[in-house]
This record gives sequence, C-alpha cells and structure tokens, in this order.
Amino acid sequence: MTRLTFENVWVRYGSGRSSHDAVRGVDLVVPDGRLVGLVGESGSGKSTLARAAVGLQEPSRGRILVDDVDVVGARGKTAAVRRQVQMVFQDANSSLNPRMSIGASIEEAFVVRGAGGGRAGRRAEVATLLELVELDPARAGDLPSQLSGGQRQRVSIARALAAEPRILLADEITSALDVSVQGTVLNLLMRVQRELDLTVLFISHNLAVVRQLCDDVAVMKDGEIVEVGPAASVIDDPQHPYTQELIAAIPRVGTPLFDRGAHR
Amino acid sequence: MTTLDPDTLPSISDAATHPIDITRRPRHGFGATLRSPIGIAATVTLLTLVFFAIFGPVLWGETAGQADLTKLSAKPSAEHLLGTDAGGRDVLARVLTATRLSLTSALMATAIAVSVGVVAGLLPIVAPRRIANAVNGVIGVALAFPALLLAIVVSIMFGAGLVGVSLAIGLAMAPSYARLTQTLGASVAGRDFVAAARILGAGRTRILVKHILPNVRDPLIVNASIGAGTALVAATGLSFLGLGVQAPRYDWGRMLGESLNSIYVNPAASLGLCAAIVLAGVTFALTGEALARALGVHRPSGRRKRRPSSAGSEGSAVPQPQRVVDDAVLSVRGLTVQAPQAEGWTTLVDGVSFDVGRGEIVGIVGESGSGKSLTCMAVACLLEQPLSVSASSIRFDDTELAVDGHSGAAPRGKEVAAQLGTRMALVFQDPSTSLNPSIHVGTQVAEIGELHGGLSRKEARRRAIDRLGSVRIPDPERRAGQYPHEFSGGMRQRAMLAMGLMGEPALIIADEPTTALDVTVQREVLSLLHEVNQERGTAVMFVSHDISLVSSFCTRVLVMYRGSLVEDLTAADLAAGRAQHPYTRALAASVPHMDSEPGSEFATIHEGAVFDDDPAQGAS
Amino acid sequence: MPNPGTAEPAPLAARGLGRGNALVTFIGRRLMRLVWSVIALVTVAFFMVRLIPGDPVRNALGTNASAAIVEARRESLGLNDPLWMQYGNFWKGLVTGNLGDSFSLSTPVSTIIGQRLPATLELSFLSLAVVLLVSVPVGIVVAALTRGGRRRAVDFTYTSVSGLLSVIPEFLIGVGLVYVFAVHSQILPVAGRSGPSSYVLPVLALSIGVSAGMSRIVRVEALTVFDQDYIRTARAKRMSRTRLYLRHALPNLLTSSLTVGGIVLGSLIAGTVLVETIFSWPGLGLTIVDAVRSKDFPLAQGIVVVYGLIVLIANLLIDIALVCLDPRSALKDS
Repeated sequence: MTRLTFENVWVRYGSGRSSHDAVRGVDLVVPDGRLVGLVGESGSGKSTLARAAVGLQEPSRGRILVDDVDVVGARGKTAAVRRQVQMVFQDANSSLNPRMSIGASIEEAFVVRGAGGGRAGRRAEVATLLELVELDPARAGDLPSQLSGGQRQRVSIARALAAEPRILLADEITSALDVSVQGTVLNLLMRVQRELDLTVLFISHNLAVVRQLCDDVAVMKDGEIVEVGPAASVIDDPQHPYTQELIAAIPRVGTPLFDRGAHR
Repeated sequence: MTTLDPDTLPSISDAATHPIDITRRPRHGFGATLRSPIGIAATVTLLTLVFFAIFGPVLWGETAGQADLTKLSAKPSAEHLLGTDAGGRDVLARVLTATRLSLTSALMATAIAVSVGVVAGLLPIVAPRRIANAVNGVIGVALAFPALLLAIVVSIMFGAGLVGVSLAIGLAMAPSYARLTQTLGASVAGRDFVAAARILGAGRTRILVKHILPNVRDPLIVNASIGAGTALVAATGLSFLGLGVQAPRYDWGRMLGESLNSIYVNPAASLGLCAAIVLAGVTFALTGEALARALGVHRPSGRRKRRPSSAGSEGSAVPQPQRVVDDAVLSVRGLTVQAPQAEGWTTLVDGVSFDVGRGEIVGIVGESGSGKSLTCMAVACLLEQPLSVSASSIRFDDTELAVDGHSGAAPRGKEVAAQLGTRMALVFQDPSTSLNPSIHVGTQVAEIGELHGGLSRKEARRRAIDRLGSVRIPDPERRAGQYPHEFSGGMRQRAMLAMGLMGEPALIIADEPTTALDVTVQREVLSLLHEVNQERGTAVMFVSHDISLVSSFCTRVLVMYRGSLVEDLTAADLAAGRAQHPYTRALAASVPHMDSEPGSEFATIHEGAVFDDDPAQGAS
Repeated sequence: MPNPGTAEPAPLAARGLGRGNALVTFIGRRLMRLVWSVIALVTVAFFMVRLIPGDPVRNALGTNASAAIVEARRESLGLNDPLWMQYGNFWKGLVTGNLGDSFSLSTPVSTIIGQRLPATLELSFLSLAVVLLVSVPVGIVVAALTRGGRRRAVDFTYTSVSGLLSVIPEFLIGVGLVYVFAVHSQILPVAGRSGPSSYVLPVLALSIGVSAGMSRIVRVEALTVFDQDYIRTARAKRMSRTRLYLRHALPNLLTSSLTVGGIVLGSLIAGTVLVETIFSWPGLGLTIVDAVRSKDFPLAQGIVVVYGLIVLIANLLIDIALVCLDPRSALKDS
C-alpha cells in the first residue's frame, strides 16, 4: 500500500568551494511491501539517501515521495505522512537515550502522536511491541546499558514500529553486532516485515546478507545508483563492472582469495 | 579565573575527534560517595561553611562591630585570636561574620552564570538558525576576553556593591558556561537517539527536555559547584581591589585588602583571611569532585592490583598445543592474560597454546571479547599494566620472550628489542589512528631503520621510500613527505605494512587489518600481505572476526571462544565442514553465505548458549 | 567492531580542497572574527561609561563641584554631543591614538598607557613562559608515571597538591609571598619594579596556581595521547621510553597545550590586575584599579580597550600557530 520513491535526488554537504554532493541524482523506487537492499562502500551516499527520506538531511534537489506525497521539507499534514517512514540506526548504543528506560523510548512515539488510551493503554502497547521483538515486557523499565547489543537493536526496531510506520529504513543495523547475534536481528526484521507487510529499505555493505534477505537490490557508488534488480540475479550475475568488482572482492568459504603458493 | 576542570571537561583532543560520551562512566551513587574520604571531606567542609554563613552574623555580628580603640591592629592575643584590625575590631569575629556575605555574592554570581549560560548554550539547539548563529557569535566574542576583565567592566557599569559584584561575576562567567553547555548539548544533539526522536515527530522542546537536558545535566552540576568556588575567589578579588562590597558592609576580600596595609603589624589577620578564602575554595572544589564521582562524570581511575600468581607455572607440565609445528617461528605455551576487577582478577585469555610455522598464514577467528586481539598483543609484548600477562613460554624466532613466566611490556634488553623491532611486524585494525598524525609518513616508516638497522637518517629515508613503493604507494617520494591524514584508509594500512617491512620480518601480526576498510580495498591490502608471504616467506598471524575471510585467506585457523582456544584446524577442513568443536560449527553456520537460499532464515547462536566442552575434545 | 559501511568520509584533501586554500580560508575567517571582536570590545568600552547611572563627570568631580565646572568639563569631553557622534569620535580617537585625557592625572590617556603597558606585558609573558615551562613537562612526566593506574601514591600526592594550588587564587599566593618575604626575610623586594629580582615574586604569584591547573590539563591530555593507537605503533618499534614520549607523544600534545595556553594567557593577563595591586607593580592593572576607584573613566576605558586588544591579538597568534603546527585543524574548521 505504500511505496517510497526517490526522484532525481541530490544531497549536498557544505557550501561554496568545499561542498560535496553525497547523493547525485538518485532515482529509486522501493515498491510496496518489498524488501529492497541498498549496497555500496563507505562514502557511496547510501546512508545519506536514507537520512534524506526521513528529513534528517534536506535534499538540494529532487523529490522523495511516500506514495504520491512529496515529503521533502514536510510540515503539518505531510509531516504526518513522512512519519510513516521510520528508521533504525546502525549503532544501538547511540540510538537509544541512555537516560531513558527502553519502555519510555518506545512509548515516546505514542506520546508524540497523542495516541489515545491513556497511560495504561500506552504501557500495554509497549508490552505488545516488546513481545513482538522477543523481549520480556517486564524489562520495560531497564535502561539501555542493562541490555546486550542485540537486545538494544531489537528495542530500536520496536521503537520504530511504535510509530506504526508503513516504510522502514534499516541503516547497517547489524554491522556493529557479532555474527552470532546478527542472525537474530535479521530474522526479526524479516518476520516483522512479513507480518506487518512493511516496505523496507535495507542498507548494508554485506552482500551475502542482502542476497539472503532482500527481494531487490540497488548498488550505489559515489552517490549514484549503478545497478538495480532482483537481489539474487544482481548478485549472482552482476552486469555493471563496479558490481562485478564488489562481488569478486567478497571472500567465500572454501575459495582461496589468492592462489596459494607451494609452501604448504 | 578559569573554570576548567580537566576531569570534567571533555579532553580537547577527544572533543575534536569523538563525540563526548558522558554516560558510560560508572555512577558511584550518592550513598557510596558520601562514605568515601572525598565525600566525607566535602560534607564536613560544606556543613562548616553553611553553619558560619547562617549563624556567623547572629553569633559574632555584635562582637565584630565593637571597636576597641586602645588596640588598633593588635597582634593575636587570647582575647583576639587573630588580633584586631586598623579600627580595633576583632578580626576573627569579622571573618566569621563575613562568611555570609562572601558566600552570598558567590552563590548569586554562580546562579546568574549558570542560568544565563545554560539558556544561551541551549538556545542555539532549539532556536532558528539565524538566532542560533547570533547567540554563538556573541558567546564566541565574549569568550575571547578573560572573565576578570569582563567582571571589572561590568562592575564599572553596575557600580560597586553586593548586587553589582554578583552581576559582574555572574555575567563574566556566563560565556564559559554557555560554551560548556553548548559543547555538551551539541554532542548529545548529534547522537542517533535525538535523530530518532525527530523522526518520530517529537518537537524541539520535547527533544530538549527529554533527550538533551538529562544527558548534559550532570557535568553542568559538577561544573556549577566548581564554578561557585571560582565565583567566590573572583568576588573576593573584586572586593580586594575595592571594586566590590563597600563600607560599611564587608566581605573577606575587602577585609584582606585593608589588612594588607597592616601586614607588618598584624600578619595574622591577613593569613587568617587567606585561610578562610582557601578553605571555602577547597570546599567547593571538593564538593564538585564528590558530585562528579556520585554522578559518574569522572573517568574512573584504574586501581592497580598486585599481579595474580602466574597461572599453572608451579611444576606442572608445559601445556601443549593441539597441533605442533616442526619449524615454528612462533610457539606459545600457556598464555594467560588477566585484568583487575573490583574483586580479584578476571581472565581474558586462558592458557592459550599454539604454533605458527615459518611461512604459514594462520588465522585467529572469534567474536568480540574472545581474546583474539589480546593474544596477539601479548605475543607482541605490547600489553601493559593494569593487564597481567603470563605464559610458560613464548618463543619467537628462537628467542624466549616470557621472562619468569611473565610477558608484559617490560624492557628486555637491546637485542631482544631490536629483534622484535625488525623481525616482527604489526598491522593494526584502525588505519586512521595507528599512524602518528603529526609526523610525516616517510619518517614514521623510516624510524625502524634508524632505531635497529644502524642506518643513517638519509639511508633510512631512502629505504622507507623504497618500501612505500613496494607496497604500491604511487609516487612514494612525494607521499613520504605527507601526513597520514593526506592518505586514504587503504594507503595508510599499506604504509603500516611498509613500516613492518623496513626490517626483515619473520612474522607479521595483523590484527583485524581490513575490518575498517571496504571490501575492494580489503582485497588490495590482503593481496599485498599474500605477496609478502609468498615472496619472502614471512609468516602471517591474521586476526579477524570474519570466518569466511579467515578461511579463504589463511592456511590454518585457530578458533577462540571466551578466552580459550577451542579449535586448531586447517582452512580446508573448516571449508569442508570438518570442524569438530560445536562452537566452530555454530560460528561457521551463522555466517551468511553467498549461496544461501534467498528468503531463508538466518542461522543464529542463541544468546545464552554456552560451549563449555573441553577444548581438547575438539582436537583432531 | 567498526563497520566499513559508514566509515570515515573521504579525506578532504582528496576532494580537491588543497591545503593552501584551506589555510587562506581559515586565516580569512579568523581575521573576520577578530574584526567583530574588536568592534564588540570598543562598543562595550564606549557604552560602559555611558551606562553608569548618573553623570560620570559629576561622579568624578564630586558633589562639591559647581554646575558650571561640570558643564564645562562635559562640553570639553564632548559628552553633550549626540550619542552617535560621541561613538564616532571615540572610534576616530582610537584610530589616531587619541584616547582623551585622564580626569585625575590630566595627561593624555595614551601617554599613561604607553608608560604602563610594558610592565604589564613583561609580567604576563614571563609568567606564561614559566607556566608553560613548568606545566607541560610536569603534566607529561606525571602522566607517564601514573598511566594505567601505576604509582597510586604519586597520583594521589600530585592530584591533591595540584588541586589545592590551583584553587588558591593568585592574590592569596601574592599575600602569602608578601608575608614571607616582607615580614620574615627580606631577600626579595615585595614592591615596585626595579631590577631583575623584583620580577620574582609577582611572576611566582601569577604562575604558581595557573601552572598547577594547567599541568592537570596537560596530564589528562597526555594520558589520552598515551592511549592512542599510534603510540602502540611506536611501541611496536621498540624504542626507549624517552624517545617514545618526546618524539611520538609530545608533538601531539603541543597543539592541545597551546590551546590551553591561550586560555591561560587570558587569565594571566587578568590576574595582573590583582598581582600588580599587591606588589605595587607600575602596570596597567594597578592603573585601571586606581582609575576605577577615582572614577577616572577615560583612563579606565582606554585601559579596557588595550587589555582587550592584547588578549585578542594573543589569541589570534595562538590560533595561527596552532594551524601551522596542525594543518588538519584548519581543514576541519572549514
């Protein structure tokens, strides 16, 4: 029901001679209910693109549409539309207020929205969300420092879901986690996406994860999208030389990265 | 008149590079702090000060006003413990009486400074950009002038007297509070939880009240307390100059100014006043310190403990690795690393034994906290106190590095130093911090040649340029004269390698050398490492959390889990799924593969899972 | 585990922002700030006198002076002109070096300042030299000795002593020195400026507390530097401790020490006001106190401007020195 569209989006940092275009004319559609991966190396502009979609960064040009509403510089009613786009950040250490209990962090969305049901109602909603992300609702009073990295990231997801988003942007949400924890968070994201029928833009540098998780993938380089297509086909059979280079550089178990010499 | 407390202010270099983390330090709590020596001292002195401020004028006010004209500027006596002043009045009674006025002006000034400063400091966060810029500009200009000068200027405007002094000092101190608030506030405002709140649609006021204030409050309180001491001193100074409180009222400063004229006759008066002022100053400093501890603003100072007795060295057999290599460049036996805790010691690396053969590429893989990096640093003799390192034996290139079972960073003579410097090369994780930012890259690379190679500065430089070229740094001649920040991440990592190649390394220890790099850059750095290994036969110890990377780059893999080495297997066995230890298997399974089924669930290791099998069991 | 996905942005140099270019931009911006600061300084100094409740001339001459004398004085000072004209004249006077005449001494303010300025500058810069020469080595040595929780006793002693010294204000140290050297022994002169020995006590009074405070800051900075990865890199080269600290740590401490030095210089210059009063040091500080007390506003005004200019110029020089030492800071700034 909800589609996120980037139309010729440019984002510029700085001004004058030291300015730098982090995103250069991106056209991208994240179709309704799809999980789209956005991959690229550092400085490719993928995070900036996501930040532009939620209004943390004003694009210098172009439109960002939620269905058919342009949310660039949104105020009033369009701001409510933009609130349907929520974001989960990379570092759960920094994305949860250390002085706020995790329950209060999740509850904030209801308070800000002025949701009915009073305090008790909001508490019940928080409990439901904590259960949804497989955390004990009794821990609502805990501070983020009492949680492990993986648990904190699940709280971040719950907080984003509290805003009842239609579109979720996940910015490197597992890159600060150990592999053993990564799977739990990714499985949660996958399940939530299916259950709530969310549209998800999944930003990552890990192509193996994107290939397994996403329906489609877009490859970004130097602020531009160089290749888009179904995840498996782009990654298994890349067309653009940059994508080919990127995929060739990924180490695979059982395939020596370089020819092994005679020494062993 | 600076309000700089080095411990509560963010370190200057810190502030430039990292957001200030004001929240991760432990809070000791008020109860515990009150019982600590510093808490007791702060409480006692503060209560004394408060007592005299409240009761001083009541109890001694009258005595203080009585002039004995027969005793002008008299020396101390039983009757007048600090003697009398030029008007024949008892100095001690006046000192005690003046406590109230001296403290009042200091506290009023602090209140003004803090309220003006906090408002001015936080305004830019919520106000429209234009107003924010204007406020910032004013703060910046005001900060350029020393507070005491500002205070004099303001006191000229407001005239002398209690209110004038408080206003003068309060307004003069406000800019530095504003800047402190601003720095703290900006660092919090830049964090992701504030971004998240904005995305949720929280308004500026809500963000300020719910997210920013709670996170900047503690350091502000601590600095306000320390600032009260500064204000007291400043108010005293102004009064001392005759610009503060005017007759007939008197505070310590005015009294000190007057007593100085008769310092030859009755020095006790001046000294008594000095003591009172210092005591009050120390009280506020102590209170600030105590508050800082209670609120956890301070860095905890590490308490040093006696080393734990070296593990298992008493007569027990030397532990053997799972796989012994014949021609080992490095053999480690029973390596243990421990760190001091509140109670006793915690073991971070637990009796690890392994060999690295000449020309081998051995990977060490494990998750964060598994002890893999510590193992490397211990082998390189780079771990320092408070960590304690012990081992039955660490033999590197036919030299025993473990001295008496201990293997810290203690000096072990010039020869060993030269051997470690030239035969062992190190590449660390973060190329942006592992090169010295204020020394030219070429000079840093050349240094080993000068230190251990007996080369002249010129020769060392020439070799450094040659090595930079050999790690494929283009135009090495020019690049050698540049600073690290002019290099890209991959180039810095290659320069680190060039540094190691100044000698004739038998072993390169690479601790997560590509974790901070993009995959394409990672490949370049690895290909270089591989090349060095192939062409010079240099062994490589390669630490990584990425099991696919380790298995595709290394010949043999050591798997670490919670400080123990759980498995030692060939990369081929690992790739073929012949891992024995359950943790190795779980770890291998949890890595997403390029050929996993799209849309399938990710394999996980349950958060509470424990792999407590005997490590030896997993050995082949 | 840092992640490669959103790691560092491309180095600025790589974006075609040359170093020379950034330096020029930096100095340009810095000069702009200086201009704003000077405007603020002069404006404040101008209004400082105008904001005094009542008539400054009447204040200065006392209630006994006749209205005619007051009026004549007002006229000669230009106080009857419209405010904007007075402001303009003030600027004009500043540029031409004419700061008016002192009320009490009836000599041009610029002459008085010219006579008194060198004494204050000597005192401030000598003290700064002492502070830097003491606090930087002490801070580094103590940091080296106590790093990683070593030598708890040294740590405790140093922290207590330096903490105590840094809360004692310069004028109390001054009073203490006067007591010791005037009342007990007469080795060193306690008043006036005559010969090298007369510098000792005022410089000591100014620098003791500040040195203690600054050495604490240097120590914290040094501990931070010792924790950096590049120090580990240097240790991996197996060099002597001395070389490690002097060659690898010190250059990185200089910038932060210099930054703190700038703040310290400001407080030293302000401290001269008090110290000069105690030691009857014939500098600007003594003069401004007298001027304010005797309501000699033109003189006070002139000295405020000069003090402000000294601080501003010193800050400018320090900022430029910082950029020369560490070109990255200019890049970062722009």
